[in-house]
Amino acid sequence: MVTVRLPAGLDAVTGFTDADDRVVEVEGDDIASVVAGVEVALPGVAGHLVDGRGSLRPHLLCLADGTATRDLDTPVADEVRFLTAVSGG
Amino acid sequence: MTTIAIGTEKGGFLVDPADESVSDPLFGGWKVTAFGRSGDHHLAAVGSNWFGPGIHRSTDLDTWTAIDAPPNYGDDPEADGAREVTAIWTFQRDRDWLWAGVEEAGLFRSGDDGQTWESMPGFNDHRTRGDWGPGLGGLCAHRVVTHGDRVYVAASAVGVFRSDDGGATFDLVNDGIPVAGMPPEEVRERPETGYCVHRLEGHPDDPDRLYRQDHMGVFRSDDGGVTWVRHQSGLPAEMGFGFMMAREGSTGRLFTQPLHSDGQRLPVDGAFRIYRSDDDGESWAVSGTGWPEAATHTQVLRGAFDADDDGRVVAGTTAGTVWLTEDAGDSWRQLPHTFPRIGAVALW
Repeated sequence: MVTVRLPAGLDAVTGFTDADDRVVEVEGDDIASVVAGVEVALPGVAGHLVDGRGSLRPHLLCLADGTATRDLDTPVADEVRFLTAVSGG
Repeated sequence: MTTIAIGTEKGGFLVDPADESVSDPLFGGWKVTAFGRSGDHHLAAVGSNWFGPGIHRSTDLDTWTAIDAPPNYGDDPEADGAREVTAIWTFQRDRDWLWAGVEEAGLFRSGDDGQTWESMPGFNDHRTRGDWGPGLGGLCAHRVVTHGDRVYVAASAVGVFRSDDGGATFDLVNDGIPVAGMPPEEVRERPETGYCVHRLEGHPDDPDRLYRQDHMGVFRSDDGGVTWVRHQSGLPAEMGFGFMMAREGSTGRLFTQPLHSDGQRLPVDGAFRIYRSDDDGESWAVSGTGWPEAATHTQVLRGAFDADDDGRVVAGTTAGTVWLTEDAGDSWRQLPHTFPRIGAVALW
């Protein structure tokens, strides 16, 4: 199982309220399959991580086992962390 | 009881105009781009620089739930020209369907109060789509007006489309509208697209009557958009520029906010005023009383204006203030709150 940590900004979608909640365990061996697993666990969330063109949303950061990546084919063993970039307004 | 829904750059708010109480922020940090109602559901379209667009629904205005699958083109992500829904700009509920207009410009409809959506290829794959170009506000379908099988869609900066078969096929209907940004004498052949409609309003009893706040002025059509005639006598705006238009149901009065010009996009001389027409757009004048004496350089965006059928009209400004009339524009008051920049309002 892969541990997925989601950003607080998604609370309005997930219904989570604090850092301890924002974790889901899903099956998967790369970012794409992990995102698919997140969608099974939390319907509607995957579309907020990956855009309609199949890319990680541009202002999100993704850490696969601690290493930043934007490639959804990146292998992952233990943890995927999604973070909001320091951007916006 | 009436509730005013306020959609801002940083969340939504619900205001009770009777006691001026305000809810806690809804969808904190998310931009709210549109409100709607369908069946027992209130709807809020949201968006985020980080997370893209979404739709939340509520039956009690207290608990909101995100739907699983907002409108989506379903294009192959790897295909050239794959389209993406980047924002939801309007909802329209009619007898049979809940419609949504989106950016990048598209039309979707739902038969289950917004839980699931279907793409409307007659609009989304229109033969002219390759020529569609964005205005300053993006390439967006921002208004849907329906009367039975008659469906109008306003898209910036493309023009107004009309369907007579329930949205299966669409024709462009913009004759009489000047081409934005081009002196008339330089227009040798009118293009099919490139008309920067800012807001479209219909008439509840006449599917052929339309009111249009365009980049190039205020227009009315009495023949279903086949021809458009300028109707802006009394508006101080250069060229008739403005963003919004609304029709109050009990009186039929029209409302808009004239802005100085395309270049400035500010109230003329700092005088923040909503203007009103009591004669279907033939003439316009300042709507009633209550306006600020001090210079007030703010504007009302196209989605930040709503009217009901009981005398209420509400305007949210880019300065985060809210103006309300409850007597169809005879008197106005500013609510005491200040919000982030307002892009959407609704009277519920």
